[in-house]
Amino acid sequence: MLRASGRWLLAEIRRLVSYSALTVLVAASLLRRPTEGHGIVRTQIARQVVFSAWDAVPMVVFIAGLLSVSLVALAATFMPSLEATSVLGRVVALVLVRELAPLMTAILVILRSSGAVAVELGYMSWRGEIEALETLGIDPIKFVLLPRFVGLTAATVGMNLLFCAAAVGAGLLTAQTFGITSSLSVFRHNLGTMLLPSDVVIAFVKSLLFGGVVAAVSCYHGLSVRDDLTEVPRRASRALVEALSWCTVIGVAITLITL
Amino acid sequence: MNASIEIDALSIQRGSAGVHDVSLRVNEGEAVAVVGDDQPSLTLLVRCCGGLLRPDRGRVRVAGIDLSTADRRTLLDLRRTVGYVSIHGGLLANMSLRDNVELPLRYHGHLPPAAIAERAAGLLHDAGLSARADERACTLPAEIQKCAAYLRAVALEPRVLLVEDPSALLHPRGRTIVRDIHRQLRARGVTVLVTDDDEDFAAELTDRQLTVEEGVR
Repeated sequence: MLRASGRWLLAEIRRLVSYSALTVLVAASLLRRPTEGHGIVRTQIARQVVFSAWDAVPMVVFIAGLLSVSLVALAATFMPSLEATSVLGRVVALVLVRELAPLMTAILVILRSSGAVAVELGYMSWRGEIEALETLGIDPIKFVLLPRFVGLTAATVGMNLLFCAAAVGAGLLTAQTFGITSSLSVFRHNLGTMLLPSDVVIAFVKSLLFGGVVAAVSCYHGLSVRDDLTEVPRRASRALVEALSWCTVIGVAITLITL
Repeated sequence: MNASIEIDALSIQRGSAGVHDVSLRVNEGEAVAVVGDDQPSLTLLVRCCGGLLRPDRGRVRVAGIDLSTADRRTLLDLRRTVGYVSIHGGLLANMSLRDNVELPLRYHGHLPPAAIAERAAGLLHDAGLSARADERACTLPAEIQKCAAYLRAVALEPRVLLVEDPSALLHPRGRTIVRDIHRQLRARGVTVLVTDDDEDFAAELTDRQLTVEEGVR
């Protein structure tokens, strides 16, 4: 039992080191010969952002709105109205902005893009496309990985902002419907006093880290495919599960550290 | 005459495929084929010359660079002047043929965009692939993908071209395209090393053929 636990822990640490090494390599490629392939790399980054972020906008707005509606409706049902009015802003700030929004957007990015990136890189690796790029003097880290890292991280951060905005908007509408708050100015005042700058910073740091983790895990598993095509779905599945697990662990760790 | 490719006592083993104690010299502008039935082992040889594999023992020098000790960045730089065509071509599946051929030119930024488009269009036209230039690579037959991989490899006008098994996946039409490409390369004085199991086809592409009969030794 102890030996099995030790083996599991060592495997996890090894993987974490691999993810970190991959992230460092990608970050270093930004600094090394920055003009090399910059036009075509920029295009690849734009494509990834469109796929991971822009195409997901309606879904994010929809889910953020629904979650906010249920949260505010619950608050309205289980709290006396005056008390609810005073704590609603802080509830929204803590639960939505600091905790729910970064994790939910990470989950949405994982569901939409993590598996897709792992499958795409898995096929590229299996078909010899990554190696073919190297034979052309094209740095795969810069051409293949950098756009996915930037795209997924930008998507997670951007969608987090959008999620918060949509949730707050939907929360306001629901609060007015339930008669908790009478006007936008009252709600805004509550939110303004309850939403501290540290909440925004923590949410930003979380979404930044979640984006990096999702990218590192997806790229690592995609590139791990070698000669066996049946590895592709297995790796994609592992990428989804691991990305979600690591985001949850990091999220909880940040919450505990910043209490 | 200077050697473009110099293999000295090369040994490498990967699974059941392996080459042992092979020495070979390909002079500048020369086209050489290493022919034999054991294509996986021959592929190891050409992959070592492309810097894709490190030999277990021995030394490989290409265009004056010792690949046994070269770091990754040196290899990436070297490959701007050393073209490589793998058995399956390795085209980017989600890009069109045109984008694939333009890719190395656009990445390395040697030419303005209009000149890149013109050069890619010229290569595709000469190979008779203009009509399919805008189709995505993954929707095209393997033969066309391989021919396009050839065009992509020569787009940067390399000084050395390395080819794994050029006859693989090619029907008569594809072979004609590849023959024409090799004819142009020879006219330009490009050094070529190919490995193949089809002796006749290899002889059409090269000046000198080395036959390996029992394993690659």
